[in-house]
Amino acid sequence: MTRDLTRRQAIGITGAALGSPFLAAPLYAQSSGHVVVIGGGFGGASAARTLRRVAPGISVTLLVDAAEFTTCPFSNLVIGGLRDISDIRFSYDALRSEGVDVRVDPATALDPAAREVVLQSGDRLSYDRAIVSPGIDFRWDALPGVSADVAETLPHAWKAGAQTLLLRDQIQAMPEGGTVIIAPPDNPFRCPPGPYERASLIAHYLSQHNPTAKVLIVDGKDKFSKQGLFMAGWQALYPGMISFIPFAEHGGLKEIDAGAKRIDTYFESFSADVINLIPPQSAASIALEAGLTGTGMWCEIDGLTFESREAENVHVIGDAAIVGDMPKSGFSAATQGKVCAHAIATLLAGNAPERGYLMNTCYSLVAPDYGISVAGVYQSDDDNRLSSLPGTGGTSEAGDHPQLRRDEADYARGWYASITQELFGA
Amino acid sequence: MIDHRRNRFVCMALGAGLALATGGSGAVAEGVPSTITAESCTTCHGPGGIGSGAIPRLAGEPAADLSAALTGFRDGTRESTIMSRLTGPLTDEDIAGIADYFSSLGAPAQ
Repeated sequence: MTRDLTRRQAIGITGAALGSPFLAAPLYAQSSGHVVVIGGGFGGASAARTLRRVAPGISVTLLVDAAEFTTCPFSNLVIGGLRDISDIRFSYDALRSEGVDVRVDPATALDPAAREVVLQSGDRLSYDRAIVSPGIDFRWDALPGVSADVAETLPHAWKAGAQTLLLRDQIQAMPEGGTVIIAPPDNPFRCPPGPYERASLIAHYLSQHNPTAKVLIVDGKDKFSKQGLFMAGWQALYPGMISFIPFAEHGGLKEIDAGAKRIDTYFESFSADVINLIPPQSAASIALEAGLTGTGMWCEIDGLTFESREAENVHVIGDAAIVGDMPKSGFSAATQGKVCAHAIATLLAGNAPERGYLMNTCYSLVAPDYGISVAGVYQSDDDNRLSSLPGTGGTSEAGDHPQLRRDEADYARGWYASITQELFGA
Repeated sequence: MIDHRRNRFVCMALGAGLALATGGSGAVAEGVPSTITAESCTTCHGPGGIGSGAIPRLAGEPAADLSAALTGFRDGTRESTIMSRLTGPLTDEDIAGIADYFSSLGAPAQ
């Protein structure tokens, strides 16, 4: 048994591999079995790669939607013209070279009773443990009078790729002095600070190319993540350009006219040149259809192992799950993927899982040299709920701190390079 | 808060033994293993703690330096942008474990 539980053991294990920057000795040499991972985003890629690293006796199949993954984090930089889409796109080559069986053959169904996954090709895979990390789907029926094809006109850009480019191109083609509406949903949804970083980086683009244009946030809620920091940044950098209209001031969406680019709310009507309509969300349909969401729209899990509360041998991580106090972020999903991999490797060796610390940090860019953050530390409590630990976390210091904002912008870029290297890099 | 967690490391080896002995469902190994905590650290500090852009390298740095930095962040005696928000719950034993872990991961780049 070579689990790292003491300092002495840690030194013994890693000391043998001095010189390698990576963990060279497997922590769970006795673990074996087959794990199928559904979804190749931050959660799934992280879990698959970590399993191969810490427990090489476990065979891992990763089922992905496309040959390349386009990250939602930093897609707002693409929309703001600060990065190319190719900068946020990654292949699975590194995972393949480490022995992950990556298949571009997405899972279409999961049968927990039979411990089987059905693939788009019709193939069926059996598993000892499944990790479900499929992300979100949109609840189009929760919006008045529209269906999924409205996104061809009013892009959501909340799954990165073609939608990201559509929104970018619409903003760049906007007439002088035009208006962009961003319409974020009520909680919970993927990436709580995302719409406001997006407003910031659209304003950054507009301030340089279309300085009389406006950004209007017609929100499905009254408060948002890092609100004080964002609004102070907007005041300092883009005075008068971004307006936030909380739910209480408009009363909710009543009608959406995609052709006329108009949103009618219960109290007011808003017209724009570009509308970024971000729909309400749920766990992705495969999780709903497999019964992993119970009677709700998100997957309840055990905070120690990420095992579903609804199905044995099925673990759910990332945006599809309700993970205690952890937010729906790429960082959270990656952390959960790594810790879930440890838990599964432990369970497959017949041992008891460990109660570790899990961290999250969400950086947002208000401008290329102006970053802000929110952070948290979580641990599963006696009810195995991942709870925020008291006295930790919180947002960057408020007030006028130009050096802090510059530093956090640098750290945001460092974080993105780090997480994408760790998940997809050679 | 820190004080009442201080004994956890001592429980760690014992708890692990018990957990391994029972090996069954419902059992939970005690203590906070540094390998689990490190999985969060490397999300910013690079795979294996090799550093990333402006974010410092941890791998191969002297354990005493890493311990001093983490302790300073936790106790508020060392300035930081974010680390003071992430180190609050760490016990001295947690810090020593994390410092040893990253220190043992290879020499720093010259």
